[in-house]
Amino acid sequence: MSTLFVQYPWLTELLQGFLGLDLGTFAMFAIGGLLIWLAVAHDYEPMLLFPMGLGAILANIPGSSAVSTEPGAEGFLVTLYHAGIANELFPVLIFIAIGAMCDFTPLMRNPSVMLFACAAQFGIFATAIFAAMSGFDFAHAASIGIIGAADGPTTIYVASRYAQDMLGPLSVAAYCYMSLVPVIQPPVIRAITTKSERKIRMSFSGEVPISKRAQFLFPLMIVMIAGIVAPISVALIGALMFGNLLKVSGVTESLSQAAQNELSNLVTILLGITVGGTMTQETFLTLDVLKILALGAVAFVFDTVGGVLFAKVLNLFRSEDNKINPMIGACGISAFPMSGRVIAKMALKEDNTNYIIQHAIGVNVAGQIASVVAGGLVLALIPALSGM
Amino acid sequence: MASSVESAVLMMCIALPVMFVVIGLFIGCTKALVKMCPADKE
Repeated sequence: MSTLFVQYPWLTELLQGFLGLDLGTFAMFAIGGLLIWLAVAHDYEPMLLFPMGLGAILANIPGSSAVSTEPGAEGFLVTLYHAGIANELFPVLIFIAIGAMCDFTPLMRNPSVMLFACAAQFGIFATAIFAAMSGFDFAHAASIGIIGAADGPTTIYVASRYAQDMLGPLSVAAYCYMSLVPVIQPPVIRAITTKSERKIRMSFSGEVPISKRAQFLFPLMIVMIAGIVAPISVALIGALMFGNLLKVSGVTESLSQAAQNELSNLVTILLGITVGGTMTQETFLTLDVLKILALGAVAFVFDTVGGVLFAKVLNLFRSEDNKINPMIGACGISAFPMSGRVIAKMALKEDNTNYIIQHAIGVNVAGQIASVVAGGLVLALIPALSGM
Repeated sequence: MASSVESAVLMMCIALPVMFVVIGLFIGCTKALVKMCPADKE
């Protein structure tokens, strides 16, 4: 065979696809196929997992022109990576779209629910500790921890800055576990709450009207406070609130619609397939990836535990008729509106007349802001603590 | 590894309290904002 290749050198070029096939290639095809299957057959974050799965397949075809790094003939996935991931552009654009979709009025009616969102970020920091104990260096451990923000763009943003080599597995873990919230959260909540706690009724405050002026000033206020505390978070929170301002200003309706639809769809396509393109067998078929996937589950479990236990602690100081249903603490993650709906359904399952959806959604919206604040703090602390 | 774990623990010890302070600030400012801009005046 080798004599044949020596005699006819063009055969190597012609057959490079076949010659490059190995077990790793097929394993990556299977992983890409699995992501596509989860998206198509089970509706698990299809907007992201579908393009990611296809990107993974394109990147692992031997000699693929999609990921060619040959000067002057760079593959489109490589070009997209440099144009939108390496410089953190795509996650920031996604934040504009998310901001335009967000309605902060439930949060403004009852701002105290932001405390639950804060407690529910516990998973980020607990997971970072577990990741460091598993052998990851601090920057990588903190980037793994950020899966606990339950926020794909934040995960990608942090990873693209401090853990580029793990961008693919971190994104896959973040989006997979976000779609698995209905599977992960209920058993954890049941394990740490009693039946009577899950049946606690919360007073319904009604639809307190929020003025247009307050809705307009709220995003500006959040950006200024968060930006001054952690200037490194300005890109993320600034983009999120810019999107929201487009929506609430009342004078940029078409821009708001464009952010919610065209921008969101276009960047999601590019982000998904580009992240998938980083999932080569050299970076994905490693023990570290298995650890990341396990730690991602740990992050979501500790987020849930943090939020619920915080609510239980608050209940110790509240009167009997003013108790909080501790389940709403679990909604403080950024997986919106899935987490809020899951918890509201759980409450109805325990008592079919107990409607806590208003409170759950308020906490869930707060999770959007808290996860970005946590991401900003992690971004600021990684370089500060890395040199220890 | 010890240093990574120490850094991660330190990150939690710094970031969580800071988060509560920032969120506390958000809560106070949001309440003040809603009070200063009541809906019935619009």
